[in-house]
Amino acid sequence: MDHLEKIIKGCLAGKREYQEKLYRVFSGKMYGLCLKYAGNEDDAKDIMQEGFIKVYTKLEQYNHKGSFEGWIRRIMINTALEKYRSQLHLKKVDEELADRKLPLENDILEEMEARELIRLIRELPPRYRMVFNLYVIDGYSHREIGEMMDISEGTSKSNLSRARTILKQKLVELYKTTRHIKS
Amino acid sequence: MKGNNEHMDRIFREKLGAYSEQPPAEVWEGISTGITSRGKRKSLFFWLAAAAGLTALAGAILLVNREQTGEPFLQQQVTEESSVQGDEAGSDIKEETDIGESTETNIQTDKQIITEITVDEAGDETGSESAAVSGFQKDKEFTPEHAVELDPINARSTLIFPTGFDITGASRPYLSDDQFQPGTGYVETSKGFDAEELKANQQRNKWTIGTQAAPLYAYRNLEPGSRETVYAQADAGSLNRCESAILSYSGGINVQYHTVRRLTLQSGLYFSRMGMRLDFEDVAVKSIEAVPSFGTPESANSTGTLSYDIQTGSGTELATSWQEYNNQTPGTIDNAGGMRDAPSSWDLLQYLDYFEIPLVLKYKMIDRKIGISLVSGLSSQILIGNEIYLADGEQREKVGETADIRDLNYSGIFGLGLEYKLAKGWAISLEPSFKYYLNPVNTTGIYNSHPWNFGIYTGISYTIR
Repeated sequence: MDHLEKIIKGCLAGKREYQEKLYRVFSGKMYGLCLKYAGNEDDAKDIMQEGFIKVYTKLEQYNHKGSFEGWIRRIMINTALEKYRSQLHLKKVDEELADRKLPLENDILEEMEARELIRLIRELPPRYRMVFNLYVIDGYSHREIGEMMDISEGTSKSNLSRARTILKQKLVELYKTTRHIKS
Repeated sequence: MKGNNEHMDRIFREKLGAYSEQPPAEVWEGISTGITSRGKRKSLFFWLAAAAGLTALAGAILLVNREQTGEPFLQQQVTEESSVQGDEAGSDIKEETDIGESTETNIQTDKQIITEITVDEAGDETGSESAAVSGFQKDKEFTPEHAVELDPINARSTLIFPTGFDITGASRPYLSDDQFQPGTGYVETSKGFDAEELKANQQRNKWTIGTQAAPLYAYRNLEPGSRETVYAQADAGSLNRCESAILSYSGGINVQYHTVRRLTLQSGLYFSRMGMRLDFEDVAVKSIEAVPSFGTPESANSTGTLSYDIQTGSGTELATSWQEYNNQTPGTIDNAGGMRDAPSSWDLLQYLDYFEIPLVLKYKMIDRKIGISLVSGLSSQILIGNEIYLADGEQREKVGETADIRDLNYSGIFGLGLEYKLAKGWAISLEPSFKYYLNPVNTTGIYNSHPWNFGIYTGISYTIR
């Protein structure tokens, strides 16, 4: 029997040692996902915990068609969406940015570490952060994002545009600060 | 600018697409605790609920048994109904009182025991028969007995003594020897109780067994649930449009215990089927929660997640169509695992099957050859079946089940009972009744689903005499 199949079977039987094994196999990637979708580390831990509990309770629904990792990822994303559901339609005045065309030094992105990029994404308002993660990093279409977040395709596109604008602005500020420090 | 966007997107995707980081140790501890508490909560609740139901049933039976034994009365107000019988000369029996005294003063109170005792020529007791009857005044001082006819058919005269009084031998203060009639029954009771009423009372506290079956009209009521969703199709109005009631059925055996006048306690074991008919396209294509991807077929309705099997294995035409439909777009991220462009004639039938143990109180408003009762009570439902069928016209194919459904539910029952007594203890009945599930059938969800049904139960019963 395949190693993963054996672990899944053990989890279905409710054996704690196999549940922990499953967690150890996927915890790194899933925590990385949670860090991207969450607004802070505490929320990331909450999403991770709630998501894995759902994985164990829904495991009998997985019918072994398609990637198991993909199945878990989808549960984690849904858990993250649920956590921020109440904030997905809020608008704050200071978030209303014009679609500013900001010059961006390409090399600054190349030099940034993954954790720094995650910190940048975290500074986005929840609805922009969700759309950016879903479209840019996880490859969902605007139609799919619209259905997942109960928004139109057009809103998804405009949220993505605004997310990019905010990220660029922050990158520009970071670049200026970095250049100033270096100089 | 577009180039700039593409560049930024590419960098984020490359650096974060496969990003992983080990979580802190407390994350697994939280997950472990969460799994443990959910398991304990479910099983503990299940056994607590079952214990509560059994305790309630046992308590009801014990309560009824205590009522049946009752407490013997010690003092009775004797009221006159007829003239005294017996030897006029030297009789120690109290003289007749005014016939005009009403026997209607017997107040329906607690049940009392009456004992009919038969004696032989020597005055020894040869037999006794007891029955519980109601209708005595209590806490009245006993006055000497009078002979009354308690059995007009056999014209048997009786004498009355206080409870516990020894009528044999020397302990017969109210009778002289020549007044002591062999073969006469002596009844410890108050007067004013006629034979018909005595016989009627002796018919109570009987057991009845019966069987019932009913067609049901079943649907559900939705209340806001514990979980929220971001999906547009979760609106209750749209759910009500794509989910409709079904005709199903129920049936079983029952046992009735007739307690005090007009009240009957009923329990038994029933089977019932609850469910809904779901519009396939609305549920599967425009699912209120598009969980699936990567070929995992699921969708959701108001009750919860509907989990499908693509391979049904039956080989029927409908099974083949189902499989072909599900294999249309394999392995792609899509709504409900690729379920699109389904035949418009397809529906889903969502069934939940239960064993029911009701505890019902019936009050007889009219108790003649035709009886009319008010029926009210509770019922426990134990889940024994959970199925989803794909329906196309008359064809049916089992394709899955609903996830996160409770094993144990409770419902309230209200109804009307019509009974027609046949001969020798047999009766037929007609009982329209309404049942509403007090707790939701789903354990989690956007909505709490409370099934209800309306059924007309027809049945036949036999009273054990």
